[in-house]
Amino acid sequence: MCAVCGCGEKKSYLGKFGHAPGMNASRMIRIERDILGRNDARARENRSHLDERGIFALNLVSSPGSGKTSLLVRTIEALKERVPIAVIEGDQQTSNDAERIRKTGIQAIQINTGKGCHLDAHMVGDALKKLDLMDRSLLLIENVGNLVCPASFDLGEHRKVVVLSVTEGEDKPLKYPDMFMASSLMLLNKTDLLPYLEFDTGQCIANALEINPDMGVIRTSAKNCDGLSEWVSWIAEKLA
Amino acid sequence: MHELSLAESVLQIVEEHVQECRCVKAIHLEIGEHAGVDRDALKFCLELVCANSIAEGAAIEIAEVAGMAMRVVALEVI
Ligand SMILES: Nc1nc2c(ncn2[C@@H]2O[C@H](COP(=O)(O)OP(=O)(O)OP(=O)(O)O)[C@@H](O)[C@H]2O)c(=O)[nH]1
Ligand SMILES: [Mg+2]
Repeated sequence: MCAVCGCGEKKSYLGKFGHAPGMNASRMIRIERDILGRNDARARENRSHLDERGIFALNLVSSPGSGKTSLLVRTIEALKERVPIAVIEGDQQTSNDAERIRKTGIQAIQINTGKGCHLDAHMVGDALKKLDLMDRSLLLIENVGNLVCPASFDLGEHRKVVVLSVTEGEDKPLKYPDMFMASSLMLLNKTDLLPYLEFDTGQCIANALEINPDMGVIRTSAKNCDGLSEWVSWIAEKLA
Repeated sequence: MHELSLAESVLQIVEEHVQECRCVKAIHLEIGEHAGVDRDALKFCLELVCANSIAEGAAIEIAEVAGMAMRVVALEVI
């Protein structure tokens, strides 16, 4: 430890700001740097790479089990004849979800984040290099099931889509506002279960719009395909 | 949940800016209210990662701002 001021250096350092006795008035350095600057720079790189090739990318975010993979499978079935599709799957462990996607005949790559609670732009950038992406295609990214952390990490996608299932309760947009702030669209999923629940759909949507008035809302069921055509048209519009 | 990796990024930024002077007395951060970051957890993690670094013992000042921003705004050095 530095003997003069107790900082972590082994030797005392008498540079121009000085640890010399009597000279250690502190000085402010303004730096204004984004903590996620490195992530955001890579995300911009990813996005411009996608833009150059006319690839439209969505980042699906939600708590675990809301139905992201089930919806993706349905979405792929509905769109795969119209547009080439590739999928990036993020989970802490297993390649279950990528395998479910591959059964539809679409290429999918699994990222395991280990202990990580979100995908980041570097993981997605590396995955982009491994995928054989077609120009003017659709890239679907399923983030790690977590209603908090993925909100902060730009992956280079064009839109975030939050999936909320009706079994989670109508107050979730209020309890986890960051994710709803960051998303352009909410898919309110598992509507086929509504008859068995006390879930106030109107209240849930009002809560979501209170957090983010600009967000679109589509009610879906990956089980009976309700709302699927509206969701598919939402994507198709962006592809056009 | 990922406060430790954020703390590591903060230290990296600090180290990029402070080469000549070896003592960081305070790190001033701005964290958006919707940044998904727990300020106490971030502070705790920063104290951990700053141990044995140029920022050992630095005070961590976190101002809450609107939105989702997370920034290192200033360093106090001697
Ligand atoms: N009834 C009903 N069940 C659904 C619906 N969508 C998904 N499920 C079921 O919900 C469970 C979780 O679905 P997944 O598609 O694996 O959810 P996920 O969001 O991909 O989950 P993680 O990737 O683990 O976060 C499965 O048992 C699905 O069959 C739906 O619309 N209605
Ligand atoms: Mg899944």
